[in-house]
Amino acid sequence: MSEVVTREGNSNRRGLVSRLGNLGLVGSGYKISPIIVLVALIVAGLYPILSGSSPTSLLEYTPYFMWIVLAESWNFCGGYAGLLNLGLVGFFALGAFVTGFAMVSGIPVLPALLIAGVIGALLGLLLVPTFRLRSDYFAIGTLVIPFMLKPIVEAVFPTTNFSVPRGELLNPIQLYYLGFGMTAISIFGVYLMMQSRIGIALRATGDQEIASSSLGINILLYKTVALAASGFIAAVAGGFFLQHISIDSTLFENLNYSLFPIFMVIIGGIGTFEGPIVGAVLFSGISYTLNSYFPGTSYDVLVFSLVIMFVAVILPNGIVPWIRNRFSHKWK
Amino acid sequence: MIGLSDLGQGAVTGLLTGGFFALASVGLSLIFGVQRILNVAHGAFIVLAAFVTIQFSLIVTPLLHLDPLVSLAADFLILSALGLGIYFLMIYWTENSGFEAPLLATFGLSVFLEYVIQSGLGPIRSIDPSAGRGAQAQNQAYTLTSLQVGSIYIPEPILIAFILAIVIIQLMHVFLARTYFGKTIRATSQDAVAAEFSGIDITRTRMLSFALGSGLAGVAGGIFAFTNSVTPFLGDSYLLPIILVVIVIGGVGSMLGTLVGGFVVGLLFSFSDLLAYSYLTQYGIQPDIGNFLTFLIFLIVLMIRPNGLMGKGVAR
Repeated sequence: MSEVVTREGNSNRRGLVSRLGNLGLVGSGYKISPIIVLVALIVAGLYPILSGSSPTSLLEYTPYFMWIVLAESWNFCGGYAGLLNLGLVGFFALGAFVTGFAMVSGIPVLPALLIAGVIGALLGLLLVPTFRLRSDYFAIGTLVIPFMLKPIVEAVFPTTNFSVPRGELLNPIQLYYLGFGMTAISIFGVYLMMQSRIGIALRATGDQEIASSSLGINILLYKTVALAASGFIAAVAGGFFLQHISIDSTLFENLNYSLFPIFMVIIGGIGTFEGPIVGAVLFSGISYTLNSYFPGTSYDVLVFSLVIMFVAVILPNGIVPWIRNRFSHKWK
Repeated sequence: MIGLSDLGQGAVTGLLTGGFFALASVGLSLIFGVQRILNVAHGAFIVLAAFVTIQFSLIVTPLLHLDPLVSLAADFLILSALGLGIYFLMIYWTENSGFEAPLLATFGLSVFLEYVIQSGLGPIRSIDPSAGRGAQAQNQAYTLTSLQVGSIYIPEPILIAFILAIVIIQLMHVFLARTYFGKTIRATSQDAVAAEFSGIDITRTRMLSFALGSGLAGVAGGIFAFTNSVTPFLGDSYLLPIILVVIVIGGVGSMLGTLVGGFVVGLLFSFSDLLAYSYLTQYGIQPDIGNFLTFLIFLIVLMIRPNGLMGKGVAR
């Protein structure tokens, strides 16, 4: 909480520099990791132009974008607000279905993704009554949500198989920049949100629910905001997923899309800015490497299952907090 | 239209499958009740045991002429040993560090077991139907041997599963209510600190309940192989959500509660299937209304009475 206090103390300074200082980008109290992430994003944005590699090889990077966005989505409500959502795949798959339906009906990709996001946020709002449950019962309740959505989706949509219509298919460069834009917006959207009043209230709620309630923070409101925003991001990620893969309704039953993001967030560092990015990049990197060395196998799944067990037992706080403790004088 | 005999058949089928759901849930109810650990690998445990039974019927039965039902004992022992190992390798180190770490550890375990089942145990086969009594797998079970009472058909394997489920759950209830170990398990689940102060070795109690819960998953898995066709991912996509619903409806940690929860879920499934096939198919839609209704009722129960119908603990 000490971070929050200093940031509040600085806030009466004026001007652009001090505002950037409040965001931790410049000034005496600057933080190194947002700058690293910013530089990495700029490099990633220029990569297709500078590298001159063939456009199809850019397709290798789409999983990185998707997993970063999903991990950001989960970290926002699970890491900061302390809402252990085990039903992320419900938001994700619903987003994919809504995007598919919208695009088949002739809506172009960006508005379709936006519609999917709004539907995902509405699904988050529907879950508000479950907030009064104790955290483990909340987790069980959310785990069941995708299984409940599946029959609804099967009944509502005329078909349960969706893929992007042929004419609307994005070329690899467009897909790359769609993923890149989504990732950049979600990373810095979440970052800016966490620096604002909402973010401070959210973090307080996640840390000490009763204490922050007694300080006059409207817990219900902020939890609702967290789940809706998380649902929005996850649904957009689902829409992005649809752009290069065709889906059917068994996607709702795939627990991996709920739990792998949690794993990424925890391996990176739960409730930190860098955690979901580090975790998702590690995860996708390992997966890509193993699949390119051993094509046609699924050794990546085996390695992940072992790593998950290992991390859960040995390093339950994640990599980033561990590094922070070692280099705490440089890394605020 | 739904006739009286259809209703009767629906009720019988619902109760019989409900018995199996209850048995599948007893183990996790015990673990979750005692340790507050959401073992998401429970579904994978059940599927693993189902594969053990299938392999038993393919390998051991022809050699020694043992009925495949004998493999239930082997399932119990193997899964108990596995549970014991898992407890000391993972759960013991993570159970005090909150809710996420054990959840994540068991998720990794579940993915691992699914991988092993999928790649290590060869192509998916079902029990050899000629191997012995109760060994009829999946489709044969529903067509070959059924008892007929009036106009109601009772498939034999499901009946065996039901009777075993009732007996085992009653035994568990007696074990928890009467024996010393049962009492230590109940005490630990109610208040671990107070139990430790009263001289109960809570590590041993938790180890015991985890091994016992895993062993019960083994028995349920063996029975699962007799009544269903088994695929490696069925644990996550089918069993785990139903198990959680049964546990919450029945009340965490209550053995008889899981029986009630199992019956509720089983009846919901069979009656909503009946409803869907008799009415909704006319309109060209065939929604999976059983799943929807079950999970809806689950959420309502969770909202109104999070302790379940038979539970006593505090869930808010």
